Amino acid sequence: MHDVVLTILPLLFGSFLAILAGWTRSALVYPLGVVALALSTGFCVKLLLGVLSTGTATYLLGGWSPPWGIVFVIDTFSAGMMLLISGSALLTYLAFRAEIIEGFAEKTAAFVALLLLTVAGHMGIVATGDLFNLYVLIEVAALSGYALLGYGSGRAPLASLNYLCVGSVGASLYLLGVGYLYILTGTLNMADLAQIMLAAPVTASLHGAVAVILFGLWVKMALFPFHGWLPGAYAMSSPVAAALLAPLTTKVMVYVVIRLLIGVIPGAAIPEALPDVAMLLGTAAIFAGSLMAYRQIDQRRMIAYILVAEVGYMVGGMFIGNRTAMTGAMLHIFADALMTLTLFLALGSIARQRGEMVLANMRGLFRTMPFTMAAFVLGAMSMIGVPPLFGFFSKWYLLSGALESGQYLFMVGLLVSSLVNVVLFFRIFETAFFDEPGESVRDIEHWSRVTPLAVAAVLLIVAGLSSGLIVDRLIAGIIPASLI
Amino acid sequence: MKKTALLAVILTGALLILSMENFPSWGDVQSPASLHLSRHFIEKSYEQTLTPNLVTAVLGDYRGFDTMLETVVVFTAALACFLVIRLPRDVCTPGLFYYRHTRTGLVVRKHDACELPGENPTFERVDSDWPPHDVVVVSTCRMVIPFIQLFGLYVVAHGHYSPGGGFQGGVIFAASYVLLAVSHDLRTLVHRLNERVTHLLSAAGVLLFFGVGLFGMAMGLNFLDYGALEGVLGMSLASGHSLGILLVEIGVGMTVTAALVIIFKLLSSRGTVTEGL
Repeated sequence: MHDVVLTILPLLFGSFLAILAGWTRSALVYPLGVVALALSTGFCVKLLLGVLSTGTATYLLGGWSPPWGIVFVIDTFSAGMMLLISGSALLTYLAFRAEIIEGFAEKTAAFVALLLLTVAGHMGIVATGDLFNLYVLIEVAALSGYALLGYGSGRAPLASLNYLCVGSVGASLYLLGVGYLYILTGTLNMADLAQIMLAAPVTASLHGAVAVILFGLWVKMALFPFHGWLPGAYAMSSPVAAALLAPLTTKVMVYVVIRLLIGVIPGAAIPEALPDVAMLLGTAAIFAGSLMAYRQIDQRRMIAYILVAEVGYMVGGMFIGNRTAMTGAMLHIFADALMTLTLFLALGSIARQRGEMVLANMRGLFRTMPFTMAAFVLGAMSMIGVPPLFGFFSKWYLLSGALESGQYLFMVGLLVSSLVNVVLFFRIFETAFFDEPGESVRDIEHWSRVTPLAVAAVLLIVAGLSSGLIVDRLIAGIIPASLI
Repeated sequence: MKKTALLAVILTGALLILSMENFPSWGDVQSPASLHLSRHFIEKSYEQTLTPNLVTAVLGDYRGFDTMLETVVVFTAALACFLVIRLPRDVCTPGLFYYRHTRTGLVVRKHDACELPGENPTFERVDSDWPPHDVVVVSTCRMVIPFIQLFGLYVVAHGHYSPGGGFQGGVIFAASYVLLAVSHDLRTLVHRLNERVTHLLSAAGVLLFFGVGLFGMAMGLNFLDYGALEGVLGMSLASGHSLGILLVEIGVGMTVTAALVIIFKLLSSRGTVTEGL
């Protein structure tokens, strides 16, 4: 019965214990993180199986029933998201064992605690059924994220400060909108709010509240033109923090918007012009992200700009307004998280051997690190959208959805960005395959780094092949029948 | 650039003001906010939690999970400061160190000597930009600090009846330590409350909050259900809730005190936690 909350509690508990351990028995800190993440992942699997067989699970925190207390509400889609978050965090944590233990010296405990807190925050955002609780969880996830990204050499603190300023603006706008909604409806519980908003008169204030909330979330998810913080934050920071947060933060924010659109805010409350603006921004994000990715020298920064384009995919997909496109946007959350994870894990391993991630440093990688590169190729192919990898299927749904509604510019954007990805990744493959590695290169592939990476890469194929199953079991039941 | 920014600010402000046109008027008893949740809290919360201060009942009990996460945010803030600005222990700044011979009051200057080897009773380290001792300031603060701390404890404990609670009390308690550092020097504060103690205290505070939640689960109820305290010391259900709120407020107070002291020490010493101000 406690499955819902047990997915998050081990992470919170683990982070408090990590600090205690850090000042008393520091050797225990890293294993503590493994145990916390593994427990959390285990309970997520259990929760997903439970939700699949018995339907939506609810948990009353403090035993107070809604709308007076706070509830966690887990349906099939959110259970899938929870598993995605904890699983990808676990893989990252295992793959970067050496960096976490050596790279932070006496600060390992603080780093591990913050890492667990940020994972807990992201999972809570997915689980909660209360608008204000969502804000507090955004704070937990974001604040620990800023610290993780801010620890690094060179300009990492500056990039993180930039992220902090922009992120705080986004979170404040969201909070302001929640305040508006509370004034207008008197409740914070999502289900209760959905009921009241259906009956509430549609006024300028209601439109304003919805617009402010969505605007704040767009800033948090780095939708073009609010993407300025993302490339710096993910390209300058330590590889651990980037590989942990790049698959999570933007995807979780996309999840929140989808949750609000399909479950809370009725169609009448959304300002009329908003879907058009969103489509415009989404399409612009795809073009701008692809163009800027093409101009990057640092490969991590390049992938960060591809992420900007991917956010455009999802925002466009959810605002097209038909069932196929919405399915595509929801499926793409999973696909994008998995392929970003694969690419960042692979780049992290390569960066440990070769240093700075410029093209010239990637010569001969296929010969010296074959397994890492094989996984990298899978991730890249998925980004491009090659069947039978996961990225192909979500992109296919998005394309068909756009075709149904006649959003041709968006379709062109999807195709152009795929083509740009082809150019970008084949540039890397060419250098890594044909050029000779330098004389002094001594690359090492250790099984402890390759295994998590291989799991992520194989998952891309497995999830791709079973994407029909994912749509049927996890996604289809969540989209309201009114959306055709 | 500045003009564009100003224009954007004015435009956004105007839009926000326009969007307020349908708000209920100030203090309207018929507004949705006063009809829906608040009515339930006003009518039921004393009966359910034996806490006359409604705000405390809502924050500490009905929305206790939010409060726990807010405490975690404070805890995170301290960790974030530690991770980002704490210098490694073997880095010596500012590179010049002053030691005072305790008997004669003679001050010597040394390069590259953060710590004198072993416990050295004849020399004590003084700040490089060290202001002279002021007897009036030092003795006044010494007298005032215990009363500030007592007041902090009172604010933590009295949150059930008056404005107050763990956050406010914790800040007052931490302020007494800041006053100690300002009136003496940072080293005196570090001597009283070293890094290890403050970090352990900050984790212990959130653990206490968390532990109250886990106790609920251990007794077969939901996480953070203070109803589990019913029967402890012969309490009724409502006074169990009241006790639960007190316990979590104490946890909040511990974390807030420790976190603020950690942040103060790090910021004032530029990350060395040895000297500063």
